[in-house]
Amino acid sequence: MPKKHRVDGISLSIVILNILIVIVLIVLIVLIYLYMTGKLEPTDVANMDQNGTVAQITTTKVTTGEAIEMEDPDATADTDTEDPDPETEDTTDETEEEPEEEEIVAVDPYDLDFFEADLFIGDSIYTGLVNYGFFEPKNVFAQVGLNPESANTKTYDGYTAVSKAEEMKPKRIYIMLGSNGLAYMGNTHMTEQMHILVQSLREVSPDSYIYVVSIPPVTKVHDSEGKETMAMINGYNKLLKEMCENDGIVFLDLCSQLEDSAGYLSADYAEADGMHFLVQGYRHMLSFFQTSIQIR
Amino acid sequence: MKKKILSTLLVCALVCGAAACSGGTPASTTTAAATTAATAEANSASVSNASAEDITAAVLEATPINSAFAQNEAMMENNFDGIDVSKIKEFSYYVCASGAYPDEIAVFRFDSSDSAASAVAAVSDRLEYQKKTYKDYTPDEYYKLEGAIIAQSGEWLYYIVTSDNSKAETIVKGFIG
Repeated sequence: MPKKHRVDGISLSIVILNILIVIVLIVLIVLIYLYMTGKLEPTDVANMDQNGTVAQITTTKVTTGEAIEMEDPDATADTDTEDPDPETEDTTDETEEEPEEEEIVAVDPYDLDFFEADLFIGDSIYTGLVNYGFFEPKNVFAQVGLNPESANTKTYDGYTAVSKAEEMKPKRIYIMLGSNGLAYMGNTHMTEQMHILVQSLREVSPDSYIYVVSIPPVTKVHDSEGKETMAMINGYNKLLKEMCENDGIVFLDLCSQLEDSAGYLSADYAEADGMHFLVQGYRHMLSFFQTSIQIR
Repeated sequence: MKKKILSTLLVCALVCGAAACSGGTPASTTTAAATTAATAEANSASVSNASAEDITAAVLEATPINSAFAQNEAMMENNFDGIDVSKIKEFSYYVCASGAYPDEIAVFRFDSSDSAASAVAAVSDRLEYQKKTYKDYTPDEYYKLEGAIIAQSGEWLYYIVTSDNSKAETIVKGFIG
């Protein structure tokens, strides 16, 4: 008879089995501990449901006290909505020109219903609002390559930006244009064209609240390529802000929201080309828009 | 004797479990590209049972698109103006959602080859629109559009704009012939 492998009367296979079970239990306990302490979490894929809403807590820095205000009924509960004409609104005192930063915590970064009756006018960056499923095409007039000048004339699906606003009569209009003209149009000309666009929109949809959005920053690498630089961007945004102050339009400084500590587009938001947004950029942008309007 | 039987059963169960784990992991992590190759080699004579989503997943694995995001029916209909959605049995459509690049891939399965053929015009219009849009915007990316592929195979229709259109088409053909 072959000799059996026994340890103190216990089968060797039983001993091995017990050791394996203990190892498995230890691994399970470690995994559970890591999960409970948040060190092991499911991958955050898009973190977005079908409606584009995100259920996570983020902190948003909002710049207040800027430019000129037109009261939006959603801004505060007791807002006077009698006169939505921006021309009649008060302007911010020059001494209050320096923006004051207030840090707020948004439990729900944005609510797509908030933007339901709104219109976004912009370039390829705004096309992501549709491509990522945040909004239906009816809420977005955006084309690759659009700039403040071509926005006054170019048609898409039979509409210009102005004729679309005329038909839609949106509650709010967010215009973000200029990134495409930086390299060859000149900041002054682009600002003049933006002024024309804003006036045209006011004429065809006088009850709409118009928000001019600063063009976003670019990454350091993109800046170094020289086509669109932060110097150009900051110069144009400065003119835009002055235009808004003169025209009685709210200026939303998205640019500063997306910058890293060095003043370039944060890697958290930047597409590989250093200019467009990843989905996180859109989330932050919408959160900033909604929060800025609601705290006013 | 009982101890022997019990220990043998437990060891067998453990071994089987381990075998199942080791066998399951590669299966679940098999890349779409590998599936494609297998399909192309082993199933070239008959049309694959793969879905449109399987096909685009395989293409995206082999020729990735930056910020690839699946488009729903409304977005697809918006981009392929005039396409008859009632004739589409299934589709899978991805674009570079950030708008930075012209890359996109669409695979449609229609209710008949005639329906697929009649949709070619809508897809061609989309390509022309993209060419017009991106020609001056990103000249470095224009080669993707110049080499874009629109092709029909029976009830299938596909549209490819990637960094390597030939490679992408080979993968699609591996599924649908």
